[in-house]
Amino acid sequence: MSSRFEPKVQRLAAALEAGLGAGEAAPVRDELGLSDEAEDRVVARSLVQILAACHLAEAGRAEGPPMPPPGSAEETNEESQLVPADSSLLGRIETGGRDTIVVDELDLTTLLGLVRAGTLRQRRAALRSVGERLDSLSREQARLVVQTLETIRDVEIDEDVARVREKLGGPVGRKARAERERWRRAVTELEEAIDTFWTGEQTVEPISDLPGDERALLLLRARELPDCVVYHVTAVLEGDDGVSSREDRRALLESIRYAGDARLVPSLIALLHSGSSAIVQEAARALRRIDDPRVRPGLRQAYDRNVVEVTRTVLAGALGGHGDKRGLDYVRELLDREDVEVRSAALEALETLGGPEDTERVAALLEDRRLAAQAVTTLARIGDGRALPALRALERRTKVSAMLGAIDEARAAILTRLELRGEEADASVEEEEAGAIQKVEEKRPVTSFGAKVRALRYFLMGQLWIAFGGARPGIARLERAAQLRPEWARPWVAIAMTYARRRLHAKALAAFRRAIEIDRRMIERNPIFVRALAQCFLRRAEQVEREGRRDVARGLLGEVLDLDLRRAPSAVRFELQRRRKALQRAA
Amino acid sequence: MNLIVAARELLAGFDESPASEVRSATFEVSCEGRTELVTLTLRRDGGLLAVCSDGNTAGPHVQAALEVLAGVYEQRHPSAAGPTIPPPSVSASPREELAAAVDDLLLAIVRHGVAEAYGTVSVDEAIEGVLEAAGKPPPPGLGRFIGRLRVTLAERDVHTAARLLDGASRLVQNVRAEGEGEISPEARRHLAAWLGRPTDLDLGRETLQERALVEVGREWVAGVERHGLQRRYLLELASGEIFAEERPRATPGSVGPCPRRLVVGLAELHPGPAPRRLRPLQYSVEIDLTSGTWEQVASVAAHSAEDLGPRYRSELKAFPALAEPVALVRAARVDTHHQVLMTPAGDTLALRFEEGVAERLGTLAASCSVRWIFGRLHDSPEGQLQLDPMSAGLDVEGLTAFERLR
Repeated sequence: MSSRFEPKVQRLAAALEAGLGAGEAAPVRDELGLSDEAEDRVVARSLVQILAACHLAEAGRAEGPPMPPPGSAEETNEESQLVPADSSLLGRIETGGRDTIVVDELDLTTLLGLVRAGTLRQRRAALRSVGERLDSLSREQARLVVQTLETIRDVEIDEDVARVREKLGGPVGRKARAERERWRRAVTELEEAIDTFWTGEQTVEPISDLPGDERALLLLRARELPDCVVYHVTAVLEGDDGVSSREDRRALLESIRYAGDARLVPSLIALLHSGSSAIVQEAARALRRIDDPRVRPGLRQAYDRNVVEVTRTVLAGALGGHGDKRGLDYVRELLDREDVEVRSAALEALETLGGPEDTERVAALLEDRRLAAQAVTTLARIGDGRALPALRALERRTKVSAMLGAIDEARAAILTRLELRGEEADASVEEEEAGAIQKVEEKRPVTSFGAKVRALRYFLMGQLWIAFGGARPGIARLERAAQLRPEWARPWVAIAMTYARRRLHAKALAAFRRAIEIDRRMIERNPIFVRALAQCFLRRAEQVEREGRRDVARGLLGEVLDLDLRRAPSAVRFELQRRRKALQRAA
Repeated sequence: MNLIVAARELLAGFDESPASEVRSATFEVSCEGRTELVTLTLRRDGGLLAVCSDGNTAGPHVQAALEVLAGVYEQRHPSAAGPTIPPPSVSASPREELAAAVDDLLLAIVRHGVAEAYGTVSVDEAIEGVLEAAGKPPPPGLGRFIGRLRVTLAERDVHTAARLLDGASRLVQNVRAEGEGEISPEARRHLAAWLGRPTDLDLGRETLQERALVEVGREWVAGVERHGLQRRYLLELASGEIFAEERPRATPGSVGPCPRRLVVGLAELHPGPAPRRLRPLQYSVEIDLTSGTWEQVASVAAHSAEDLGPRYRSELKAFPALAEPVALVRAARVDTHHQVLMTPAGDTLALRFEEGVAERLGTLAASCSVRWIFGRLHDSPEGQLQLDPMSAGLDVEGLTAFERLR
């Protein structure tokens, strides 16, 4: 544009910005060469035509910016200017803020504490650092790592824990590597199925066709999946696979809640604008766990525009997971609502948003049976010592194993957080904690020594028969052993495991129930038994659901989720919970 | 002679005789080994609807039926020869109403000023007036204009608002010229881009056959509803042209994720603003793209920023309010902090990022090199061309990895 016209164009642009109604239109008419009688419509048209023409004449003519020499970038991003709200050690680790402490500077004990009780970002970073240090650890330190990892049951960091385990020596490492190998084989099979799906040879969407626990395991490790599998997942999520129903998409979305894969971000952000509350909530939950700079702006936009309480609360919680606490006051207000769904969502959001000042209000909700489980999880994340007496009181009241397990985990997380903050738990609470270890032994029927010996003989014979392929005679002998010694759960467990291996889940279920009646704790504490039990309940629930008996399936899932499943694989636990919620929704 | 116009004229021509009124004609057509019935119906608004018994509104059977009618028409009207660009199918009277509503909108915004127009009652009412006059659903071109206008007013972007309103004022002029029977072919094309619908038979569309396309970007953009339109950007590997497949939220498009390779047996190509709209009709999808395909993508990317400016201006000039130019640009170096890309030719192009995208691309660029960037082109008030990245091709240990950035 000629510089002669530049001031004129600027004046016209200013007139369009301010509006003809705001000031005198006469000067604009003059600039445009129109008479005073010219209609406003004519002025408006001339104004935009001249401005657009002038801008277009110049568009793209200016030179591109100079390319700075390599390495001249300055660190000015938003995060680097953040000052952490919590100035304790825990509040400064891996925050990305000005005074951030990186995990690589921490000693092993602190790192392991962080793995147990840090934020998601801290736990992931700590596990990465532990994995990098494994080669230089002493035998004692390595044992400490193994012991700590044994206690981690958090599905959010399942993939990170698995990566560290794979680097370990001994049986733990071998088992983890074997599991990874199985996972790789499953991925290869899935890749082939996806290929046949897109070439049209198969009409069923291959991921939804997988058994629930396999799908969960596959997607919990999504960060390791090949690109084409992730692309396929995004096609299903965005409804571009051509076959999946809305419910299928939602199920897949739930399954990727813990995936943490940045490749999913564009699709998940697109889903935040889908208009369906259920889809938006699940997308927000998945985004909460993805460490990516695009997530926060996407969530913020959705949060600012959303008015549905539960959805807005889930979005606030997801923003909290990325260090943005704008929704905190809103969420706190919702804790007083009558609606259980709203209060439950508020508790979920407080997992990331809440602080010690929320402890008392959250602890008060332990009294509500419908909210107690979520309140326990929230208290574990807040990590304030004042929650311990309330948790102890709940522990005394409840007889549900799953709740007892959750309380146990929460207590361990709180104590670890106190330790990391340099605090101490109240002495009386600690005494109570010690007292809690004393358990009342249940009275069991007494079996004579002779009967015990005969039962053992039948048990061993039964196992032998089964080992050589004689399932029927083997099971008959195991049943005889169980009759002779009714307080002994082992024969029923052996029967259940035999049925489970033969995929007779209904029969296995019955045997497991007998075993649970006799000695629930023995089963809950044995990772092999609890894994088989959880898988058996899940598979049976899937079977009956396919037969249309959804209420029965829901009952089965409720029954197994009342048990302490902390030793079951994360993928199975996650899938059990996901499926139960899906069935509850459908009810 | 345009086949559709001829067929329509012929059917409508029977109205001249009071004794005979032909509303539709059915043909039994054998073609490519299949026999189908094709029904041609004259709509109340004067448009022509052609439906084949296989469910298609286009294809060889429909084409054959139209050719028969066109042949009869030419016999009856020997002077009707030469190419004709038909008017889109909305009748003149509603168009006048629409033009008046668009004119009111333009005036309302200019009176309020771009800085204050967003959310004001009179501007909102004027927008509602336009949508009401356009009918439901509004034509995609008009719908997208409304979406862009709302975003532009919310951002108080005077520069883009002037361009959008200029396009709207041309729409008003063209509708009025059409009403007076003084419309040029260019103005007709302009009207078709604003007011045509994908299902209109008389849009003068082309077809694309046996081509390989790669989807290099996907985004949700504002239509009448926020995030109401999905665009998939499809790069034609032979020519390097980028097309856009567009679908409203509730309507399915072609299947497959981004990225994907689409081998198109038959696709419709709609005339109009850049990028031209494409509707795949027969296609196969591959989602595991080979390195050879990515090499082809890189080979058709722009090696220099020099040609982008003239192309950008010409595309905007043709359709000021509707063109949304995109580009695939080779990168020799990318500096996300200073927001600049250097091409292999040594010239530079400014980058303009949505929030979080620069950090993501920066993280990726720290561990591998960026081979190309695909994105939307914009221009700054100072006249500098800017690329808003949607996706990037990365060189990871000699192999190309695709990253969808938004």
